[in-house]
Amino acid sequence: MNKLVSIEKSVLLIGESRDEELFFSALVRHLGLSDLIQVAQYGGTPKLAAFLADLQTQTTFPIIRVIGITRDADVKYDAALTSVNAVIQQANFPNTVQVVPFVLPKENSSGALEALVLDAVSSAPAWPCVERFMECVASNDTTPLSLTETDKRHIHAWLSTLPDPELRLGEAAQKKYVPFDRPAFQPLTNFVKSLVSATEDGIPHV
Amino acid sequence: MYDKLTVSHFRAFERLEVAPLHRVNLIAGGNNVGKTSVLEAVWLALQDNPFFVAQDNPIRLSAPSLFRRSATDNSDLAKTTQDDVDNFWKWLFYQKDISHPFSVRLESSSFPLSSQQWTFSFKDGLLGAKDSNDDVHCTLGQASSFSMTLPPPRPECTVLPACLASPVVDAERVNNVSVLNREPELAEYLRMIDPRITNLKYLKLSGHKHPYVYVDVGFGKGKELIPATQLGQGTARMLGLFASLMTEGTQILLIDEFENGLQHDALVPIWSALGKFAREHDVQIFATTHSYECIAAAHEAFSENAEDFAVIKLRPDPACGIAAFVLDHAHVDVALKTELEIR
Repeated sequence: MNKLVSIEKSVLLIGESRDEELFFSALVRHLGLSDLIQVAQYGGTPKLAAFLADLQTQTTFPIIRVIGITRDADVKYDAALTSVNAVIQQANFPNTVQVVPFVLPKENSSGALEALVLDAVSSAPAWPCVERFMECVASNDTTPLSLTETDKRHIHAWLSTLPDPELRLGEAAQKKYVPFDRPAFQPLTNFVKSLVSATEDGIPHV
Repeated sequence: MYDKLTVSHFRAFERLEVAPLHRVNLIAGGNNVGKTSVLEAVWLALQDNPFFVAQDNPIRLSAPSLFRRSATDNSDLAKTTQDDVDNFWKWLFYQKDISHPFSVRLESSSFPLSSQQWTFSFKDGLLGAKDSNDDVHCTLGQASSFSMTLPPPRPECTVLPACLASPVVDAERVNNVSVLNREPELAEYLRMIDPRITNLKYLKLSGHKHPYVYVDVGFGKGKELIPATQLGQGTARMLGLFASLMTEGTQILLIDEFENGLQHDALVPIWSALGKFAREHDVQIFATTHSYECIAAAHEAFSENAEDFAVIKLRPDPACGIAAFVLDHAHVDVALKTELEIR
C-alpha cells in the first residue's frame, strides 16, 4: 500500500490524475514552493464532487486555507469553468477556505494540459521529427481525432524522443524534461503562485 | 433500522448528529476522537435500564466494562462501586461537567422500532436517567421506577467482546443453535469465512470435563472432526458471534476495533458473512476501526449491496469540537482510489 494522502499543508493543489499530480508537484518544486503547497489528485472530473466532500472529513482539514483545482477545458472552456464552479459551490466549504479553479490549458482556450506542454517544447531539437510523425500517422486515422486527442498523440510522440522514452508526462516533468520557464507556462505558474499569496492576504493574485 | 444518532454533552461531544445511519456503520477517525464513545452512546440508548447489571449472566457486560477496563469485580457484578462512579460514569459527562445533563438518542422511522432516548443527570449525589417521555426513571444502584404504562422493551443489543470467548461458552451457544435446528445455517455463514467447513457439532467426549464444538473441515483420510479451538482466530471469533446472534435475537450489534486479531485476507469474507446475516435477519451493525484495510475490505464486501454500508468519519472541528461525516459507497470509493487517509 502506498503512503496515504493526508493534509499536511495549508495550500492544496489538486489535479485530475496521478500523472497530473506528478506534473504539478514537479512544477511546484521548480517554483520553490514545495514547503508551502501540497499536491494531490482527485481521480478525474466525475469524482471531483465526492473528493471535495471526502477532503472535508480529513482529520487535518481545518488547517487548509486555499485549494487550487485544475481541470481540462477539453472542447469548451466556458462549460468546463461553469462545471467546476458548480461543484465547488455544492461542496459548501467553510468560509475559512478559498477554492480557486484553473481550467487548462489557459483562459478561453480548448484543450488540456498537453497543449501547454506542446507550446513549450516546440523548439526542441527533435520537434521536426515529431511533426513528420504526426503528419504520417494522421493519414491512417479512420476517424479524425479531437483536439485533446491530437495533443495527447503529439505529447506521446515528443515523450518518445526523450533520453528516457518510456516516461509519461508527469514522470517526464519529475525528471526535469519539461521546460517550466517557457512563456507558455506563465498563466499556470501565476495561478500556482497566487495560491500561496492567497494565504497571506486572503486574495488570490493571478 | 435506526436512522439517526444524536448525543448531547456526552464524553468528547458537546453535540453530535450522525445521519443517515446505514445497515452497517463503520466508524473511523484518529486516536481519541470518540469512536468507542459512539458505540457506548448507541448501547446506552438501547438499554431498558442503562444501570442494570445481570447477576445471572456473566457474559452480559455492564456499561463500565463494555469497551473499557473496569475495576468492577466480576464476582460481585450487582454491586455498583464508587470506583465506577468516579472512574466511569462521571466521565460520560462532557468535560466532566456533571452539573449539565447528557443525553443519547436513536431515531427510527422504521416500524416497529421507535426512537429511544435517555437523559442522564446527577441529583443529590445520585446518578439517574430518564427516558424521553419521562415514563421511566432509573437510578444507579437502585431498581427502575415506571409510570403507569410500562414501555415496550428496547431492541436487543449485542456487543462482540474484544477477545475470544471461552470455548465452553461458545459450545453452549452452538448447543442453543442446535436446539433451534439451525446448525446448517450457522455452518453456511462460517463457510463464507472458511470454505472447508461442512458441518459442526456440539460434543462432550468421554473423559473430557466440558463439551466443545467440533468442526468437519474434511481433515485427513477419516475426515476427523477438529476442535473449533483449532480454527483460525477469525473463524473461531465469528463462530461465537454468529451463534449468539442466532440465539439472542440481536437487532443491534456493536463491535469495537473490528480488525483486532483478524488477518487482512479474512476481512472481506467476514464482512460478507456479517452483511448477509444482517440483511437476512434485520440486524444493524456499528463497528469501529483503525484500519485502512478493514475499510477497504468492507467496501469490497458491500460492493453489491452498496446502500447497506457507510463509513462514519469523526474528526476534530474548530466550530463544534468533533464533527461526524457519513461517507456512502461513492465517497468511500473515491477516497480509496485517490488513497486519501480515510481512517
